[in-house]
Amino acid sequence: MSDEAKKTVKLTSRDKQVFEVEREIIQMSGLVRDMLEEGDEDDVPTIPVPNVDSKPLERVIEYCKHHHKNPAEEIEKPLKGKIEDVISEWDKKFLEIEQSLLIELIMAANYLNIKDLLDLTCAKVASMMKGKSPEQIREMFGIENDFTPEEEAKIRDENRWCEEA
Amino acid sequence: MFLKNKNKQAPAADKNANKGVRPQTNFDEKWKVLQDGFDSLIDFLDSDQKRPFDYDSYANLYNTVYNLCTQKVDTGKLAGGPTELLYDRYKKCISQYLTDRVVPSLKEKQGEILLTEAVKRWRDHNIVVRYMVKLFNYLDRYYTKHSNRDSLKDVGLKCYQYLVYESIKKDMAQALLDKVLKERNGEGIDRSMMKDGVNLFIEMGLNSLSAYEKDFEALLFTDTSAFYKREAASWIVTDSCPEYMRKAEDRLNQEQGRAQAYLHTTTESQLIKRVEAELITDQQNHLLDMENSGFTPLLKDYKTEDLSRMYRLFKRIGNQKPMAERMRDYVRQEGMNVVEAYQEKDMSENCSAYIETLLNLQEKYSKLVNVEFEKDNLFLEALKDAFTSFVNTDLESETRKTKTSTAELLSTYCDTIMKSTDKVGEDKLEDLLERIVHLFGYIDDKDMFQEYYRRQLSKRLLVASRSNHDAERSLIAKLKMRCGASFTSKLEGMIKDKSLSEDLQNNFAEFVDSSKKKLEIDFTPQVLTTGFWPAFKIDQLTIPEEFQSCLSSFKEFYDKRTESRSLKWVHSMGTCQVLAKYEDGNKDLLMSTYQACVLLLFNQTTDLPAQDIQKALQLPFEDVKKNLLSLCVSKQANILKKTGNAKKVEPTDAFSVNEEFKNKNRRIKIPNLVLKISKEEVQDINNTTQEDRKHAIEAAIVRLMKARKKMDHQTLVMDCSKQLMTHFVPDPKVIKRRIEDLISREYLERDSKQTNVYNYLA
Repeated sequence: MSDEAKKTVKLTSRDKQVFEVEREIIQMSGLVRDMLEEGDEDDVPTIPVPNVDSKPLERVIEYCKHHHKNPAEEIEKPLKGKIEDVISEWDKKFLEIEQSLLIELIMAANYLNIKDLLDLTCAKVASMMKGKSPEQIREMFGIENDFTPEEEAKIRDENRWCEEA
Repeated sequence: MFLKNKNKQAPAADKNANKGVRPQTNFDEKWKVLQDGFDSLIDFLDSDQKRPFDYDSYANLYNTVYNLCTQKVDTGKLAGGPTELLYDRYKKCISQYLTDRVVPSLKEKQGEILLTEAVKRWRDHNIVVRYMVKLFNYLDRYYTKHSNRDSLKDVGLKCYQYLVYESIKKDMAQALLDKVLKERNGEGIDRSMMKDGVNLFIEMGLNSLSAYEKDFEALLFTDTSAFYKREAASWIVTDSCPEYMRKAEDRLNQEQGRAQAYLHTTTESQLIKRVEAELITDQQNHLLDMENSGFTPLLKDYKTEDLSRMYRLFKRIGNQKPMAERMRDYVRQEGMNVVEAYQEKDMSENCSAYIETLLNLQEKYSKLVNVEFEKDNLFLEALKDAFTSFVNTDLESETRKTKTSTAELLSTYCDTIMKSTDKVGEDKLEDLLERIVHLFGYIDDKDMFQEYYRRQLSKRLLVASRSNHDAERSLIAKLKMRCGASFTSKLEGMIKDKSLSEDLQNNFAEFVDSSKKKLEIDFTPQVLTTGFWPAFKIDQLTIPEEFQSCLSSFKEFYDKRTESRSLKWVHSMGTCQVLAKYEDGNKDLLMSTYQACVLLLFNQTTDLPAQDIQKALQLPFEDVKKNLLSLCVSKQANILKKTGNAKKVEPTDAFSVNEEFKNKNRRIKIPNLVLKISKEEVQDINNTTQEDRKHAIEAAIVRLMKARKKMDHQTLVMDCSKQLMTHFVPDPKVIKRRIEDLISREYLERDSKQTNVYNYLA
């Protein structure tokens, strides 16, 4: 087990940066775990991560290093108050990043299949959207309104329960 | 919100990251990549490569699925969204592989070849599905889950089930059953292959056992029943019962081993049940009553190993009862034969032999039941029934006009043992006492035993020269365990009196010293509590002067210590040691007080006729006669000589001291007349017991009636019997008489409306 723990893997990001990580840490990623599971690896396998840039990948590794031995507590769904009230100090600091990097982190967690990180980052986004109007949200994420007025009215009608709450 | 808008949001995020617009993905183009990946996976199966993909191709394939799921995809003329399409293509390519490659490889194959190939194909298929599920993980994570469709793994298994399993299941099952038959016939087979084959059936149920149960297990059960029906039919004709049982047990063990080796865990017990039904249930009666080797012959020859095996087999099917019944009948018969053999015999001589035969019988069968029949209740009950039936038969002798109960004989046997505990040996004594009390448990007239025991114990404690108090206590403790404290309270009281008397003797000695008296003889009085001891005869014996001073001193001493207790002297139970001076030396003579009193008379005169002796002692002539005879008849102890007929005593026969008396021992025991239970005592014991029973029955009736106020005759008699069972089995007629007596004494009355109902009168 101790030998196993010291074994490492190299991850290659979209921009061809190489990160060497202990296996035990990066096995928080379902994708990496699945790949390594087939056995008979090279000493230090090189796994391409063609969908993730080095910047978010670095943060992902940072998250895994911290959490691989002490998983975060599950975040309540639906989130009742502010996200900052339900997560650890470390996670709070970890989330103090630009919005664009946050989005990239979501994509990376999703791609690498790291459930806890995906939950954390998505909860952050949810928390950011909370109490904002659709227009403000569109503004925040640069989303084009592609609904017709009829479609929009219909959706608002269907979701009235949620606005009243 | 995030997931719902996934398709729209992804490019938007992309735009933020890359500031560039990517071209739309073409579905068919991308699918080709995946199809190629799948093909190389299939090729890998028959290759000697260690992995189907290196990390780059693996990442590429995963990435392709991811992109198809997350990006805007041009699906061309294809209907449905890209994820749905992807899902369908997944299923299609697996089905294609199964139909093109797997089904033909299994076609027309049978038996072992089919098994091997099917197992290999199934293993391959599992590898394929495992890889595909990993590569298509992203699809599984979102699409499958949110559209409520079967997981990709299940799709893979279902395809196999539908396309492959359905077409080979019959042949597969047959191949497995053929193998099982081979193994049953003694051939070695590859059990790991069997396990794989069986697992295929289990896994084809997709988390339920339905396929295994329906397509394989049911057939196995039918085959098994038929196989063992044939086996049983042939064994029962050719084999003896022990042989059959050995074979059956072997077979059952084999089947169990088989089930554990390669069948599903739920199968074992059902399979064994079927084997048991054929091998045991259907043949049980044949086996039990098989001529020369059935249960009774085995029991007769005490074949413990075979009996134990029979018990184990019948216990499996939960039907030990016929066995227990046969044992009960056999043991009862054996016991009756013993009883029969001792009828007409002189039981005063044959007591020990008889009781020891019963004890051996009991030990033999208790051991059988405890060891071979695992203390099974049915057998314990059967043994109790059998023993109760013959142990409670009295031994009669018409020629001697005697009738002896086992209660009496057992008590007499205890008496013999207690007087010679040294001979039995300390290590064996406990065990023997245990067995005695066990046998005692079968006796109905426990109260009768108690009365005999009490009398004999009293003689042991008072008259016998040696007594083993530890052994006495041990036996009493065992009786107490069995019958309760009330049964032994008197016996315990007797032992206690005996030790209290020792203290008292010491105190008395101090008293004598301090009051400066001098007693002419050593005097050891025993103080007995009236209720504990049997009723002793109180006589009018003229106390010789030598004794008188002792008695008065003790009375003086005792009256000082206690108030309102009256002392009565029981001389009939006393013993003396007399110093006799002969020409060739002194002798110590051990005898009863009566005998000593007779001898003391000869200190004054040399010749005395019997009638004068009687006058001097003031005892009934019968007693005087017996004591005189005891002093002159025995060759070892003819202290006196007489005139006239040597064996009779007439009032005028003259007695004188036998000066020529010779005996090389210094200490001589004169036969003690009270040690044995006399005929009159037997009568007395019977009367006492009957009288005590009346009281016990009345007490039980009153207890019951007081508690319930109103009872009908039937119930009252039954409950009354139940209460008294631990001490004796009351005769219903006697109970009826006691009820009538209680009515006449106005404890009860008949109900005015129902004649068979009694009311309690407070």
